[in-house]
Amino acid sequence: MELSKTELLERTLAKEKAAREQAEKTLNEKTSTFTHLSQELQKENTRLKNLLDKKALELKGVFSTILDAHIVMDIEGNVLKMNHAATKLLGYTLKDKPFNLLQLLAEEYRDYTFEAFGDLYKTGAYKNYQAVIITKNKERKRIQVNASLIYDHEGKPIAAQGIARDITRETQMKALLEEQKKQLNIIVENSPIGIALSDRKSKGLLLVNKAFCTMLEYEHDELKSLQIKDFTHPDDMAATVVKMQEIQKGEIDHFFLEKRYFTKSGKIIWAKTSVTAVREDSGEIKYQIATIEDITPQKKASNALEESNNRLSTLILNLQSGILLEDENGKIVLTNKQFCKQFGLEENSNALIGYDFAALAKKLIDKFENNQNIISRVETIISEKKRVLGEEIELKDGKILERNFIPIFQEDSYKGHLWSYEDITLKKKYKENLQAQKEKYSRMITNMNLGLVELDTEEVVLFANQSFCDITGYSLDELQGKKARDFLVTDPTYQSPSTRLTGSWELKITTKNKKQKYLLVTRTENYDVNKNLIGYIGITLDITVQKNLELQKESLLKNLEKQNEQLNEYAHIVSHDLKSPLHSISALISWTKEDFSEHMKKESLVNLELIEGKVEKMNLLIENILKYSSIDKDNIQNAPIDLNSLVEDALGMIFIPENIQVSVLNTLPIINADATRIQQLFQNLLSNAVNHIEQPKGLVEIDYIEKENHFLFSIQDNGIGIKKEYYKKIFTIFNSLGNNEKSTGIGLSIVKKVVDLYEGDIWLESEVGKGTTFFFTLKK
Amino acid sequence: MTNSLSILLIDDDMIEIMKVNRTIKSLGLSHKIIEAHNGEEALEILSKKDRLPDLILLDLNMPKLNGIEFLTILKEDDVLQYIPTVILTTSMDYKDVMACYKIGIAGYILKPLKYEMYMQKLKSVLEYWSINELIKA
Repeated sequence: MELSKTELLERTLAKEKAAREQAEKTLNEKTSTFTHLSQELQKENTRLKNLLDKKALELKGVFSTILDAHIVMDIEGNVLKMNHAATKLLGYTLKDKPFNLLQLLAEEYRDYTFEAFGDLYKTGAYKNYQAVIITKNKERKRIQVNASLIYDHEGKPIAAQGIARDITRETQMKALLEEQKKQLNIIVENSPIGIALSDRKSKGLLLVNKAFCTMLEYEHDELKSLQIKDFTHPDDMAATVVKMQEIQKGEIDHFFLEKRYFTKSGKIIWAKTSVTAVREDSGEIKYQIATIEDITPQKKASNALEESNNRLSTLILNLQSGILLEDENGKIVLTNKQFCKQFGLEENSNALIGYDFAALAKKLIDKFENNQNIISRVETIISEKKRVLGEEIELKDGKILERNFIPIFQEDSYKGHLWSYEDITLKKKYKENLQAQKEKYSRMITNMNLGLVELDTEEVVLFANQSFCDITGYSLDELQGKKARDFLVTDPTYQSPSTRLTGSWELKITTKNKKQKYLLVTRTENYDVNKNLIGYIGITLDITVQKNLELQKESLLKNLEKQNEQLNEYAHIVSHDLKSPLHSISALISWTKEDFSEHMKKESLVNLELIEGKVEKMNLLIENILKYSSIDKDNIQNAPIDLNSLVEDALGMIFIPENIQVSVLNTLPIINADATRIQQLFQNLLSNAVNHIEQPKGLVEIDYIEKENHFLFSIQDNGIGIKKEYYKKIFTIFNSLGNNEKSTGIGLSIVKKVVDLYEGDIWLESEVGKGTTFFFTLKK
Repeated sequence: MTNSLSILLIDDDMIEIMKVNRTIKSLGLSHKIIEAHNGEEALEILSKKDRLPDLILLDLNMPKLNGIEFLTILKEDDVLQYIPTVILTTSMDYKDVMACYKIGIAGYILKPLKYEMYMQKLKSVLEYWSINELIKA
């Protein structure tokens, strides 16, 4: 605006100046013509005089038409003639008294004026003389003068004439204009907003300010050959072009656009761009002024804000809690998927925006369990506008939701509220389950037969259950806060490891009524939720009864062992004591026979032999009883035995009559057993077989088959055979079948005992008169 | 050449002593038999030490000091422990055999029932010891 006003002023001034110059020019031309003519007239006097008059008249007419002051003065500067405008300019008139122009000059212009006069004399004319004069009214006026000399007939200068113009105001105006232009430049140059001016004719930018250069990182001169569109980001090009076309068509004079530019270094800046068209009267565009303002930081911030807004909306939309945001008028502003899901709404969460909450609540009412109070409760909450957290509400479909209400205030003014719903069905059920479990275990602990005691790290009793109290005879009060071990355990030597804190062991305690009890204790560490040791939990089982039984059993066993040992010893002593007299009798009979055989009758000798036989049988009996009693598990020494050589040894111990053939049909195995016992076994069976053969040709066969878990042996004879009713009986002690002198009835009992020792079986097959086969197995 | 032995026979049974004596006599041997009827008596005889026996025949089952107890005392004596001692018994008890060998014996003879067989065994023992080199006092 400022600019156009100035422009207008300038234009007016220019017009004035042009008109004046035209007038001056005209005047000068005329004057010179006049001068020339007057020289001609000197030669042709008469004719010229007439002409002069005529010309003078003409000149007068010219003078009168000049608007500016016209002054004619002599060489000394005394004014000869001046027009009305001159009178007005100087304030003096010729009527008052003659005055000299030079005297009006301001002091500082004197020298300059003398020089100007000098020039005027030399050249005959002087243009654009400027000086300040002081008028009659003491006004200082700046004048501009164009002067020329007037010559006489002989070409001598006689006078000078000049046209003076008051340029005081013009100069002031010019100075003002200059000042304004300077100010404008300062503003433009220092503006933080980039400014660029371009016109239709030139290709580049006519004018750019510093800010514009800085923003786009170009040097001032570089921009002279560039256009705005050269820096425009391709994505914004289309929008720019559309707007520019509108301007070109004259539809608009001005537009704003937020667009991106590339700087010289390739950086992208966002700028608020304003383009203004300055048009000619014809409507054609003269200038385009573009201002750009760097809004990159704001743009970045706003992008970031938008992004964070988007993130927030996505977050809310997908939140596991149902969200419902209302404005102060009860209109839904925001809700999410989870909310719709929780209440079984089929609408998209966006569809609910703008919906009235009260209307929605009425629609949802049937979904609630115990729904009589729901609406009123909601109304109360909303009217109180206070934060409500963790209210449980139950839905008809079994879901349990936890509802929170958060009112929203902005600078103390109520802006709406937020409802959030969290599905706590699982949590709730889990809690209930946990509670039920806890109760179950509490009941078990209270009612179980096991004593339970909780100790701290110093082994001080924190809690004991009823069973523990029953076992110890102390009440909970008497136990709590005490180190129970100190008064319960009266026999610390009994198994109780005072240094061990966890594990299982037995304790011998004394109850309150001084009864001895045995407890089996299992103790484990007790940790808190942070895995810090806070003590121990001991479970005790009253094993007094079992322990007493065990102790009883132990002492019984010990007794038994002792008795067994005594019995064994006794057997040996008895056998010795029985054998000694037999040996004596045997010796004595032998000596009697030896000493008196010649004097005795034959019958007496037979009797003595009978006595010897009975003594011998008795001795054998005693020896066999001893053997039988010594077969037991504690008395065997197992080692690998080759049965082939063992059987050979056994046969060597037996008297085998010549009519009896004993053969081993198979190679016998090597077994792990006690050689003495196994030899007894074979020896007894073989001697039984040999002794019970009455056939003229006796046959005894030993055979063996290896089975998966045991060895199966058989000893077959062609002897007298055994009746079926005796199959079992023969294995019991003192049951002899035959009348054999040597038979004691113990042999097979020993066999059975050895077979039993090696977890085997023994049985027989027999036919009276034909023979017997004994089978027996020994475990591998 | 066989040695004539001095033998300390320790047995409480009179007939057993008779058996030894009769055997030596019937075999026509010149061994000298010193009789002791129990361990105590035997220790008394040995305590004189002037004429120690070449061989001891020891029964196990005896009143007062029994065979094993006697043997233990004998083997603790610096001098007496070198007298070879042969057990003459009816006990087949494994424990007895083991105990005797552990303390230190020169033989363990089981007395058979029949006198003929007894004679046979005793003959072998005496023959064996009479050809042995012995420590003479």
